[in-house]
Amino acid sequence: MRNTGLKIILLSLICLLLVFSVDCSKTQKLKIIQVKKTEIPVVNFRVMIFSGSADDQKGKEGLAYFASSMLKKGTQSYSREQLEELLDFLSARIDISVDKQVIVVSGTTLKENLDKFYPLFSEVILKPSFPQEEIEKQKKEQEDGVNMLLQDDGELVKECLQDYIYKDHPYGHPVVGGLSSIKSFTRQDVQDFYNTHFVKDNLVIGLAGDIDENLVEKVRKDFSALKEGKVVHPEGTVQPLKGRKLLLVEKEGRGQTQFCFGHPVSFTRKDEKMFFPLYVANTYFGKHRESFGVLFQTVRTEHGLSYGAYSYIEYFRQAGWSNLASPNIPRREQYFSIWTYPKSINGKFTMKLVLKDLTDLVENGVPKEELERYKNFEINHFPFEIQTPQRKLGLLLDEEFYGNYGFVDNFEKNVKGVSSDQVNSDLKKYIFPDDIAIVAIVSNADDFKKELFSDQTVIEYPSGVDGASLKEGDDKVKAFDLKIKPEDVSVVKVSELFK
Amino acid sequence: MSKKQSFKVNMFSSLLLVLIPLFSLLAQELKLDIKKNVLDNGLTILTCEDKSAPTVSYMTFINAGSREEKPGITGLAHIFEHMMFRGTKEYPDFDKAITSFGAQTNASTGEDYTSYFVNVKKDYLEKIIPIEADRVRNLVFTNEAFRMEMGPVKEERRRGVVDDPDGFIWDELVQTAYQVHPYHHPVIGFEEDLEKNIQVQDGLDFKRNFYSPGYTTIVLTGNFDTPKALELIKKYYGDWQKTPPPDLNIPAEPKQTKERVKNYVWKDSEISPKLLIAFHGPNFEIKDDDFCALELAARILFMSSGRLTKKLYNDLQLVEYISGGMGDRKDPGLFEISTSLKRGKSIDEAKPLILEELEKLKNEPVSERELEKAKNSVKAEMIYRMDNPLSVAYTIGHFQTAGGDYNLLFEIQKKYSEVTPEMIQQVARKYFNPENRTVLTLLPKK
Repeated sequence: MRNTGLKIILLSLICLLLVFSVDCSKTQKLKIIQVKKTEIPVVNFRVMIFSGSADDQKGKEGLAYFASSMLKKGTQSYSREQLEELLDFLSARIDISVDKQVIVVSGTTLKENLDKFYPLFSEVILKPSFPQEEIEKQKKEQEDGVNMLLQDDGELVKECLQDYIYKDHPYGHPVVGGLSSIKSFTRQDVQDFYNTHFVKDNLVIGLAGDIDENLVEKVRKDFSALKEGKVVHPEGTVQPLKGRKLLLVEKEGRGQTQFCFGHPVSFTRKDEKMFFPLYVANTYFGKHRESFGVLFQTVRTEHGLSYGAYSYIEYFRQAGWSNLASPNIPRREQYFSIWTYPKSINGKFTMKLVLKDLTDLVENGVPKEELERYKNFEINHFPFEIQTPQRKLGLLLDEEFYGNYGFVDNFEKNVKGVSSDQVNSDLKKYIFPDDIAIVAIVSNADDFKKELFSDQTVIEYPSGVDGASLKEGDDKVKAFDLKIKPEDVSVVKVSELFK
Repeated sequence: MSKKQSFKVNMFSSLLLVLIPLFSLLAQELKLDIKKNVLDNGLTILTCEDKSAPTVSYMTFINAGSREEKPGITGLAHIFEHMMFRGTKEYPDFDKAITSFGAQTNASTGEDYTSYFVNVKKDYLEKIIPIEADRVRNLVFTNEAFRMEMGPVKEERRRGVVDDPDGFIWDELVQTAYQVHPYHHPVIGFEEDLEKNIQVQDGLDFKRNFYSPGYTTIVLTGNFDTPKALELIKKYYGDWQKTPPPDLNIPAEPKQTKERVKNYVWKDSEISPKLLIAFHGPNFEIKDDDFCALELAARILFMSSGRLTKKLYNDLQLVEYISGGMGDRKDPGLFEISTSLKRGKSIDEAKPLILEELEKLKNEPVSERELEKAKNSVKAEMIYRMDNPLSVAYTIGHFQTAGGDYNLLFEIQKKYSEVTPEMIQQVARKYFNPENRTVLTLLPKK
């Protein structure tokens, strides 16, 4: 009896251990990042899936975007129409964003509606139904996305630069794909993409705002229903650029020339030793929407050539109408870029001015006395990066992607630790003014080329700018060698893009 | 937002349309404790503390925008916005003065007011108050500085209007819908005014009239102590001389008596056909209930599950997007509908369907659920906006300047909650009439 009893106890213990260990393995794989702030009765969800347009197969460009967009187009319990009606009624949102390497499904609701909202949010991710009639509609909607990209010169020039520098790499097509690939998508493609990529090991969950343990546990339990699976992402090699290359995108009637300059870089924010020195250097040189940058000062303040001139050391998307970067667009490959948009007649001069500024930066570095000022700027500016729970959550999720845990907590320390020597040597090591691609949207490519290869560099000063006082400096700009030969120039008509 | 961040200025009001007009529902529930102080010189100070924030937002609202401009000097309010970043005698380099504080700064110009913000960590508030006071009081408006700023302004216009089909058609819309009132001209101004007409004396007059204490409101939100902040504000603004209010004589827009239609062709073939429809509506002072009823009507039409979105975007797949709303202006604004058609679809297909839905609003009461949904969205938007000091400051300042009193922020929710299906019908009948309508189309080049 005693033995039997012991056996039963031991058996029960083994069973319990088995059950517990199964549970543990599930919970270990399902990571939930939390940022609690209860002052505002709002709850934010973010589910980051570590797949994106870089996972699109050849001929199926845009599928990651397509399949992700389909999540909101119907679930096992709700049609698209019902979902939209319920979300509007709750004044809640579910948004889906897709980039090269992540898909983010985010949700926002008032705390008072959480019980009604959460079943919708979880079902969108866990039980999408991909109705056939919505597949056809989504094709049209995604084609609109391609067309809208063609209409907005600012977005177009940035997209063309990426396509150019990542040619033959999984990053080398727009996230929305091309018009012909979109037409080819089937319901099976969508289902396959979902089955492959929406698996437990390939995502991280974030919760922010007025959250509590009950919610965390519920999410953990529900999302544990996702299948397990290992995702194999396509590999690719980014080819470094050799020399200066110019791509002219021809679009008639432009009053301005949108320019984007850039080249791939061999670091990301995971490589903190390079990232922080170059982050501060970029703040000094051309931080987005800041008027103190060197580029802004020379291009806009001194010459009045363009409304803006900015530089970036990683892919950048502006967050709403703030000056801040959107979180949750992490990439394993990054690129350096510059964006400006002068009046067409001043295009060649502006090209020279920008490249000269960049060359000077790399050659001369950031002046020591200035460096402290820009380090202080970043240290004191960082609270804005994390001032809302959703922004902080976004950055913490990015840590999960990069594996650079402590990026947020150690930001101040890392910026403080940046030295002048590091900045100046890293600029030389990682930024290449001579090996850079330039994309320009121009009315007429032949006219632009003619001007480019003529001996003259025209500048039409705005009425208030005293050209005489700038003459000495501007003569040096005019004399700057663009080092672009006719064979370095390629031309594409806007109507030929993203087919 | 023209120092650095260009909201397409002509689109600025549309953005507000979506984000700003409808606060207040839960303002009291959120315990917004707004305190108002007015200095002897007329400067208004509104403070709202939030000790949970690590930062403060310091906003300066000048109660003058393009509405205060006269023909020939269009774009002047916006130029001032640019000039405010060019430095003063005391702080010749504004950027240098504030860079080490890590400040977020920007500004925007609209039809009714111009606003500036500087956000900093709470420790730096006392450093930025003297800088902000100095630039609003001692702005240097010389011919040289003014002409220097013309280049970027013209490039801003080129980007937002000349090369941007949406910006272009919005500019044309206001010029068509308003014939007399200064809302007729775009905030960024007409090119000939920017190029030739505006003289330095115009700038000096504008400065004397509007960059004055009586036309200025400071809104301070976030983590600070009100008494200490007030002391500093008094120190740096207290001796700012009051100036007599200008004689504005802003002409009222006469009642429109006939439909206005304009059709344009864009300079390239890459755009989708665009259609704008606008009706003259009420102003934002909420003296009657029309504003709230029209804004709720807009939501019933244009939310994701709204009638027109559902029909034109989801069901028929005629449009790339459709949106609309009631502009919240000091003087009567426009109820605007904007849509972009899918390639190959015709405006003639979409327009009758839009007008048909407007007619339905006149003839049949909206359902209780539709109305409740619209009211819910008003309430939620307010709460969602409360998550950072800048957004709170902007909200308070907007109600104070465009609405005339920050208390509207609390009162408007009551107005929204009282809107009935019958009131939606009444405003539809009152405003959605052909003689009150302006229609613009923009087609791609063939």
